Amino acid sequence: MANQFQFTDEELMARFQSGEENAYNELVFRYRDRLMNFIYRFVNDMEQAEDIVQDTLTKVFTHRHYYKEIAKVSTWIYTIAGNYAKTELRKRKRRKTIQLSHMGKEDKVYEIPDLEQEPDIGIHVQFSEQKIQNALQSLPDHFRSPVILRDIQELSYEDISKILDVPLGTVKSRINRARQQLKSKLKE
Amino acid sequence: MDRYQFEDCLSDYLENNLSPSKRKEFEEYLKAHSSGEELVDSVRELMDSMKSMSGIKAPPDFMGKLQQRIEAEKNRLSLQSPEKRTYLGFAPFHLGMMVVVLVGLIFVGMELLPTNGIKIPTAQPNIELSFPQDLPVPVPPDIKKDEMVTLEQDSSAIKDQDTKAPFDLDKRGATFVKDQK
Repeated sequence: MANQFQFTDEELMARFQSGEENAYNELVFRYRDRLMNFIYRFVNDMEQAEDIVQDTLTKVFTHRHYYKEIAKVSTWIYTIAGNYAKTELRKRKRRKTIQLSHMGKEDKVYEIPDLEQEPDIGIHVQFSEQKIQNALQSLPDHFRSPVILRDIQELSYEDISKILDVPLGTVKSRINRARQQLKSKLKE
Repeated sequence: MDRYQFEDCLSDYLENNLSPSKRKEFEEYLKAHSSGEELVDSVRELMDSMKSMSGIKAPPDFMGKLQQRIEAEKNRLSLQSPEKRTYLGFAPFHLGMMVVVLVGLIFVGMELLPTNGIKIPTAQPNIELSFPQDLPVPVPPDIKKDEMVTLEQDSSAIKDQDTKAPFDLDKRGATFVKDQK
């Protein structure tokens, strides 16, 4: 297993495409946690995140011949995962709309109190992880994914631009605005 | 630099992507506006916090579940493999569609046919046309010159025929009901 780290992702993919299933297993080991982190931050649900990552990696297996070496393997895999995550969020929104439309007059919406203690939000106090996660969920999808990919996954702007299929300038401006919106949410 | 330009350059400043001249402008704005400095510090803090967020890891049974999915996918694909599911070189769905269309066309064709069948023309019989040779040739009657009518005379005659006498009740012997009493 150790010698497989000599290979780049693209080399592993080439080996997998030529029928070496061990290369696929190595790719899974490299990407499963990164994808879990990305998707969980995006959908905010562990079970759904696991399902989406499973779907993503299954698609990598079944659609391996669709990958062409003109793009990075990481970009390709993140694109698949991002598309699944967006589809999941759309489904969730639709379900929410249906549930609300079925709600009678006697039904009430209960607000779940935030049990977490209010932190002292000074400038130099580290923002709590849960607060950031909640603030991320309040961002629109087109701001949330680039800021997660940049500040949590630490991908380059160019890679994010390719993953999201959005021009580089747009990615930069979305990340900049997302950060400022997050800061405002955390200070509320 | 105004507030909007300052906010637009914020991330580039924090990631050291500003040109020297822009950076100088940005720092001048920071010196002049304390709220700007506060914004820069809090966004920097946020970025650091996000980078240090604990990574989410896949659960321990992740690989087992993935293997199961892949096996299921392989089975599904092998069931759908083209060598097992083609008829005359066509996928079952496409072949079925073609058969349906073909049957439909035949049915429509049958409906369009006349019910008493089609008369198929047979070979043309050899018909020879023969004319009697001794028939008299029709000759126009001779018209004498004094019997001829000029066009003017003829048209006036037509005119006379067309002009009708005005309707006269008395001449026609019509009586009203009130007169009969």
